[in-house]
Amino acid sequence: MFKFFIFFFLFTINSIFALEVTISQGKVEPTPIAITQVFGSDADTSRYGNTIRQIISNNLTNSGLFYTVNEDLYIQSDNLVEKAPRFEDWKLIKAQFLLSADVTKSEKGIKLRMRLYDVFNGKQIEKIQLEIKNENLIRRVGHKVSDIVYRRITGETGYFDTRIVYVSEVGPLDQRIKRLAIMDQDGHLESHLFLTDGKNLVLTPRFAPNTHVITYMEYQNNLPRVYIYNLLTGVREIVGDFPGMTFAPRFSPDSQSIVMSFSDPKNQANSEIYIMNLNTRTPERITNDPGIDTSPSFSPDGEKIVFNSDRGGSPQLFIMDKDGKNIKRISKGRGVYGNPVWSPRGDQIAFTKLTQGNFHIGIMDINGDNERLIVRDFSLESPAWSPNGRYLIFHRQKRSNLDGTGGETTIHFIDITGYNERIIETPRDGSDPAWSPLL
Amino acid sequence: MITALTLNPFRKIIYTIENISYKKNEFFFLLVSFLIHLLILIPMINFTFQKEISDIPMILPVEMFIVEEETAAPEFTEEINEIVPTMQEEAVEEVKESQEEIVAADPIVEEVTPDEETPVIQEVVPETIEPKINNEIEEVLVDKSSNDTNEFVIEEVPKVQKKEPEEETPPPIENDFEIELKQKPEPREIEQPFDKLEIIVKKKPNKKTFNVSTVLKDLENKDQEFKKEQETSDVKQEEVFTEKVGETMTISEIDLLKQQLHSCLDLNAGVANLKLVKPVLVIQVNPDRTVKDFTLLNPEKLVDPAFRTAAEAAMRAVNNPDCSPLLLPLDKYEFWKEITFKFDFSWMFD
Repeated sequence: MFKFFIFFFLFTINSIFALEVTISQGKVEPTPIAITQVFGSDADTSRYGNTIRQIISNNLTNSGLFYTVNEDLYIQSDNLVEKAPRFEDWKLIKAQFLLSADVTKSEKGIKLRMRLYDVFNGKQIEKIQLEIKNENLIRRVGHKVSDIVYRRITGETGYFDTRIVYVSEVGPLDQRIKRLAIMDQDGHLESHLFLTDGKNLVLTPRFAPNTHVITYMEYQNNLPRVYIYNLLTGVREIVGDFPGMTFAPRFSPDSQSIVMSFSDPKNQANSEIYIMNLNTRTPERITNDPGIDTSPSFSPDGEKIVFNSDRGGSPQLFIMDKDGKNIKRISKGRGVYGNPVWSPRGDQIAFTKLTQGNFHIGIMDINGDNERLIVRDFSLESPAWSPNGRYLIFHRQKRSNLDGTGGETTIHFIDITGYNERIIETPRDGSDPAWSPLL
Repeated sequence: MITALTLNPFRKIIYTIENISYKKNEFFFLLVSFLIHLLILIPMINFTFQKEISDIPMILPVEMFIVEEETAAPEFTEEINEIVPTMQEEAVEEVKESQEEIVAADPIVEEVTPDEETPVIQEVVPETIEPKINNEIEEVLVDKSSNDTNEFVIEEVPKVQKKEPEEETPPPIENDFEIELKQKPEPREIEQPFDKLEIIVKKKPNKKTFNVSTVLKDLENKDQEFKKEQETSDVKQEEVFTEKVGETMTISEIDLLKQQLHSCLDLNAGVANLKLVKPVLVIQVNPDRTVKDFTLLNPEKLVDPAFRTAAEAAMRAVNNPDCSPLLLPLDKYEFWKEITFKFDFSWMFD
């Protein structure tokens, strides 16, 4: 009993003297990171090292969350960092993180060793070693290291080692040649690859969430077909012919089925949403309404579907169970909503909205709250999420002229905060982008 | 016995306690004594070290003095004294005009059909657009743009002076007073204002004789006086702070520390799952206000990437060179030798 009182007394005294401060604000700025020279053991590995360093630097900078400290400011020599980084030197130039790496040739091929330091806390926080068989994979090494750095610092998975499939367009507007193409997420020129020959019109390519498979639509002799394209094998497979209007096939989270909308050929004004099991190839109708139901997208857990419908008058966004029950309207604002896409995080929905004569790309909570329009232009379409749910890509189309010129389409990237928009360069016009999962 | 009890009324109580003491052992009384002391001691300590701002008398000595007398050169005071009234007059005129507009608008709406409303508005607008004041200001602005700021000040002063009396080197404040007094004393009560004027005139030789040496002397004297006053006020302030505020950390001092940490806490916006993560750091601080050491509470949570991200960001904020030394009052080391920082990232989602 006596001991208890003594303890109570001391605790009271201590609690009286301790100063407590709650820090509930901060600054939201790109984090400075210093990336030292990636040294190689010979000329080849030095060249690889430079490439990797450049890729990491570009990736982190383009994310909008980091900026690389100018190397002219470095106090400690790059080659001494790996032995013992002098954190005080790096603190002086305000580098919060320090990345050092080297490339050597190994028995298996090329080996990269990387260390990441937290300068302000004065410690090494990550150390990895990657080996590749040949130099063709050097770019992927750069992306992998970027993902590791991004994940270690932000706590989120990265998105750098990913690819974007899109529709490459060329020619006048009335005779547009549209080909399916694929590229690295940074749009590096060497990574571009055409998947179709351009003889037929292709539309709406979408990645499967967990495989290297794409589904897309192709018009052959004016007949819409839904295809599945395996990127690893290059095998193309017809899912089915759909004589009526068909729209936007999209994979379920388990990649075992496709959700899409198509209309009865006899009544084009009424399209319904169907789920097709890829094993049985039998479509199951899940909506039944006289209006147009289209653009379905699964939630990450596969239990819900968000879609677009004009059943209430103007096109709005709705959510329903995967069996078509419990339909609720979620869009609350004025305007025409379309192209809803559920975030991989599961907490937000991206969409397009036409209001006051302009298109917008926006995001909202899954119950329709907190709607934010983050981009506005003459024509914006096809929002797609990055695999970590932090970025969006979409395409933007310029106005066309009476002589058929203009109307160029470009692919853009933007942070969900609404900032850090940048264009992803493509050799030709690009539209309908879709992001792959992490490779 | 009765007399003894009446003389000492506490005697009975003492007797009863003594009776009980025969029945209880010593430990019981030690415990009772300890509890009574504890009950007295804890409230006393609480009252002494309580950190609520309401208990801290924020008495700050405020000394009133006329800035222009202490700091401004005589010519500059002229400018101010001459320009400010004109600006005030302009403002009054503008208000009057706007009031007139508003008053005039009502009958127009009542009388006329929509076709006739527009010309009425057109008539009113030019009146408001061309106030005399604006023209004067424009002239001044032209001078500004064409010359350096120093030159502007020099050029502008004579312009304003020329408009007013043509007397040579008159002290501006007194001239203003004279003009006012000459204009106003039409009523017979002239003697009283002149009495006041005399009092002002007596200050003349002290203020301006237009002798450089005297001006310097005056300024020196003023400086000395000012220094003395400042010293005395500082002493007073120190007394106030040491006696009343210096006993604990004030809200202002804690806010200053918060502001400093806010500028050092760097976190990327939009990182998921940070809303519910609230890392707590207990830091030990050296007397020179640098961070000696820190401890992260609940380190077992570091396996959660979101917590780890938040905790490391918090640690970086504390170790940020921009936040060293911490902005803390040196004379209150006892209060900040250990600080508990609670980090809340929910602001990123608001």
